[in-house]
Amino acid sequence: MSKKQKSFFPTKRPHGRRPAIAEAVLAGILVLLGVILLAVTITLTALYSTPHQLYISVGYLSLRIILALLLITAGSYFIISLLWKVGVSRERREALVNRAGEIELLNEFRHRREDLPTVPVEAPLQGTVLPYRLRCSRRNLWSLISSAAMSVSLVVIASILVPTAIESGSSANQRSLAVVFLPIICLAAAWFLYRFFRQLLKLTGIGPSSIEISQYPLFPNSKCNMRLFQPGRIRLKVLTVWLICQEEATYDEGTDIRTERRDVFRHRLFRKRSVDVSPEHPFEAEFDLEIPDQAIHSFKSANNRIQWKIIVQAEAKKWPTLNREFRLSVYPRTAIETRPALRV
Amino acid sequence: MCEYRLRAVEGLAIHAIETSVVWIAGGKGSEDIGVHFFQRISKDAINPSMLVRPHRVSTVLPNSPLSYPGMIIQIRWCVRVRMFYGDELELNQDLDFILGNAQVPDTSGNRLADNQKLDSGTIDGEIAPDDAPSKASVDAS
Repeated sequence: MSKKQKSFFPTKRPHGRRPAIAEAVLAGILVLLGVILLAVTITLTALYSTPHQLYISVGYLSLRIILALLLITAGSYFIISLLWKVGVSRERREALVNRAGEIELLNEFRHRREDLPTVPVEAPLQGTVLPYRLRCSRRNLWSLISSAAMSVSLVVIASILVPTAIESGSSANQRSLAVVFLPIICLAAAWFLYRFFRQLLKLTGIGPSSIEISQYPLFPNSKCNMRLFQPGRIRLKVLTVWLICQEEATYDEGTDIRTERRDVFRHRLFRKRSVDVSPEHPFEAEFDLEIPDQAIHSFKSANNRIQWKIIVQAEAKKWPTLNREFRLSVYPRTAIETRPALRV
Repeated sequence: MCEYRLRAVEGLAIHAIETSVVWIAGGKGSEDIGVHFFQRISKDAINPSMLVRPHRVSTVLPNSPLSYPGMIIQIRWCVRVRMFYGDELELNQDLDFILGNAQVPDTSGNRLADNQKLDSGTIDGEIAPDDAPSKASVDAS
């Protein structure tokens, strides 16, 4: 497939990478401090207050709770705003808002092709340069949320166990249990915090990818233009875009349910080394997307699935490789012939 | 066009005949089946002349799913005839056909060999290729 690429960003290194990373780390620390403060305050108050007298004065207790909630709120706000701002330029955000009203045009795809019950429909969004924008898989965001939830839960448990382990008021049995479990929970919390920050840095450093296409739906042997938008705050070593057809089979093995996935077709659509990206000047490239002739259409049944997707792979020095997934709907051609199966 | 004949089994009375056109997605994963066409002939409608004349099934096939000889997923279409003899005894036979010409570009040699698992039974069948239909069809009478 022929490639024609354009880059509309300045070639010098964009500013503001380190501050973005520092912001992400600071926001995470704020949330963490808030959670620890809240958990310790509630635990100590519950353990050492009597029905007639609180562990600390009401004013001091309220102050600590308010401070903890402020820390959590501020940290969460910074994280959310950073995730939103980092990858999408102002113009693009405005364009998306302005065009939100035109999305009704896409509704026809949701109700179209009811004669194809086994072909999953991945309805696209309205594009900004090309007509259609593909939906990105939410897997990365869920990974971030699950890591955050697990780390916060474990930090809360650890915060509750610490007073039990060190206070003389606890019984010997309680103390020994707390001493045994505290290191394990702290290690687990540290691991999930590490995962959380790693995910957060990945999302903030390498901004959200966006793929737009000129034609939808796609058919075997069809060709269209594809445009990649890649904002971010770091220099990418390699940026690659793949077209992949993946088979996915689910089966029972004993009492387990297993899923096996296999890429049966993989074609590189685009590749560029040394890519500088910034939130203000995202990297943009346009290239061709061609679905092979005689390719199978997208398919989904209860236990079997054939999925076409675009993978944007970003590699940066000292950063984990990032894979972003965009699902495609490939429809079968309407002119279909039948023939007898070969006998063996 | 699909045509089949029934043969009597000595000493057994046919209670019902079911004819269906189905797609089956299988391979590594658990099998999924989609019934596109189904016809049941009950005992009252069965007569000896049915064993003499050929039968034809006719239906307009959908545009999907296409037959597919994948690596861990295979999709096959077949005409399935099942004869019930009572006492939970039944005979069935699948007659496979290929809908479309879908292939995986980098899986050369991965043919539809596994699609040919025909049970030994009492039905002879044959599917003639359809030349250039805008909508594919299996025809039988």
